[in-house]
Amino acid sequence: MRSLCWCLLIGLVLLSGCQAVFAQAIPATAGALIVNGRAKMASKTVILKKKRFYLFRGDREANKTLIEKLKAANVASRNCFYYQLKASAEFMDWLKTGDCESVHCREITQEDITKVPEFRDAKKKGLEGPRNFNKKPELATKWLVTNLEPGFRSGFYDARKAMIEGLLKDMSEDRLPVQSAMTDNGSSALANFSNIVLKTTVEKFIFANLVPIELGERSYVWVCEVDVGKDKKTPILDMPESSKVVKKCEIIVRDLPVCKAGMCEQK
Amino acid sequence: MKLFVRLIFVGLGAAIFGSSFLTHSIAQRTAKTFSHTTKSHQYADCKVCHTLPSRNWMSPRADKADTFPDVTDYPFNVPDTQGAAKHTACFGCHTKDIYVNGGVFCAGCHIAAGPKARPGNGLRPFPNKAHGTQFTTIFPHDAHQDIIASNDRRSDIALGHFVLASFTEAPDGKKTEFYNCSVCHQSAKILPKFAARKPLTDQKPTAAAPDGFKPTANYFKDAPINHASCFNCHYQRIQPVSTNCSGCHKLVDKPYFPSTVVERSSLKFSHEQLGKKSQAGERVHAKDCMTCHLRTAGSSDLQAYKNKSEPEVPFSTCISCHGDDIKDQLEKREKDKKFQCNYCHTSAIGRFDKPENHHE
Repeated sequence: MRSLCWCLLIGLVLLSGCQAVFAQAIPATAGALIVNGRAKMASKTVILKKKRFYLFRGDREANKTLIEKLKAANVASRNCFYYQLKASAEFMDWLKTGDCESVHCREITQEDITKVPEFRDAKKKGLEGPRNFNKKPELATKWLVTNLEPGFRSGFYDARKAMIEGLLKDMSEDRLPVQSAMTDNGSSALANFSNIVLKTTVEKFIFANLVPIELGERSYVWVCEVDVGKDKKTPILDMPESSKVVKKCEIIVRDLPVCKAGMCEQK
Repeated sequence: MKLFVRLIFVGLGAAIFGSSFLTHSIAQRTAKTFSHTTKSHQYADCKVCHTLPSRNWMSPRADKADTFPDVTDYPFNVPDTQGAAKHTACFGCHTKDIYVNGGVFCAGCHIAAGPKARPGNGLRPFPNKAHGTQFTTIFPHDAHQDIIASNDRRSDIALGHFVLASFTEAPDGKKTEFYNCSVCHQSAKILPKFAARKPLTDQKPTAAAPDGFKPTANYFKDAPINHASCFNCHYQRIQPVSTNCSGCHKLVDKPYFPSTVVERSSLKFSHEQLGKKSQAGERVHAKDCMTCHLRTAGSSDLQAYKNKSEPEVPFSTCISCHGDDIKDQLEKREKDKKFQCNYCHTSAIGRFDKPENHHE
């Protein structure tokens, strides 16, 4: 009987310990932020769908180093990146259909393989290579991207990832992004940051799309300062384009390099 | 008759006495489960033992999926060993073990010894689910979101990138299929095992009111169960490639049995909900997946979100459309503590107090 009581007591102590650990998961003070991905470009409004924004603790002054790095960053445009790889006109047409950034954007059909030389070569490689799909030729089509030339496989994504890593390199722990969110595909393209841990009731943050967004012949990086507070109404922000600092938003605008097949130079 | 009973007792006694002289118990004769955590089993490259694809990859798969190059068998020969060098994956270190203890070592993989042993025929099934899994899977949803994302789509070609397989036709009449979450997650065709995901709290709420709610299969989405959708891009050359197992799988301290029960806080949410009132007949929840699955979209490790107290879909995403109905429920709960929220939740969850995240 006595041992049973001890067992029960130990069990209760363990149980309450577990609950205490799990109860810590919800921060005492948390805020939310919705970024409304709408950019006013001259007379029309552009919806920035599927764009990733990063949230940093502190105001623009505290994140000065990052902003300087963003201004100095040299980023190749999508067209330039692929033209530098000597992409065929057919490949570029395939990308432009649906405004794709990579070959992972949509299904590569048999018709695409017939039309686009890069896809044709990859399929041939799939059937002939050392790790080929001769036993199951349909896989040569289905798994075609695994036989594309390196830059075409994931090069554009890798370049952008390297750019972000370069921007955040050597940053102290408290200057790294606290969250990232991508705008959705709705009519207003919202990026939703939730459960932002706050150190004070109201705290300053900046959000920025580290990778420039290509719109027309220019690229844009928005760096906006915002107050996030538990009791404050969630701000929904429009993103102005025309000037460099508007409504606490700093905008880094660049002309995109003009690229044609086999060449790429700054405008 | 008495003599017969006596003989039985004498026989039993003799058997018990005799068995005490045996050097090994039955437990000792049972083959040990192969452990990847054993230091001598940990090589920098998995292909020291595992060949990809296995010899039998064209044979029907245990998961009934279409065949594709995969590891579908126990390690046998170290890659590139030829001819008589059989079982090189094991025998390099364990040659002596096959002669010890009646060859119990072989029973790790074999049910019956023989050159024609195959999974399901002389070999244990591979993978052996009875032993639990020794690995966990890391899947960075954020990276996959980024790489399949595109510039703003032309509205005349596709309604959306992550809209669930509902695209408009291109001007030339052909349907353009963009990759999106539905590459890996389709509406479930078979109702999975499901349960209410209970909040991590020390509350002792009132008993759940009778709740006859029964979701159908299309309330849920399925998820990949094998390597097929991964190898689509990662079979070779795009890292982590199929031979780089540790690129996606991390060894766990103890084997575990992954739960097949889908746990939901809001079981009444249907991914295929048809609209009523003004949106009658429309698939009202067929939005961009990232409109609600914010945390998955921003996560570089799926596992990290599995044990969080916060729901993977933030409350704020629900109120953007269902604000009035939810407000009504919360007000009822405020007035009457016995009221159990039932608009999104079943009574198993609705009986608990309003959580912190519902204040957002």
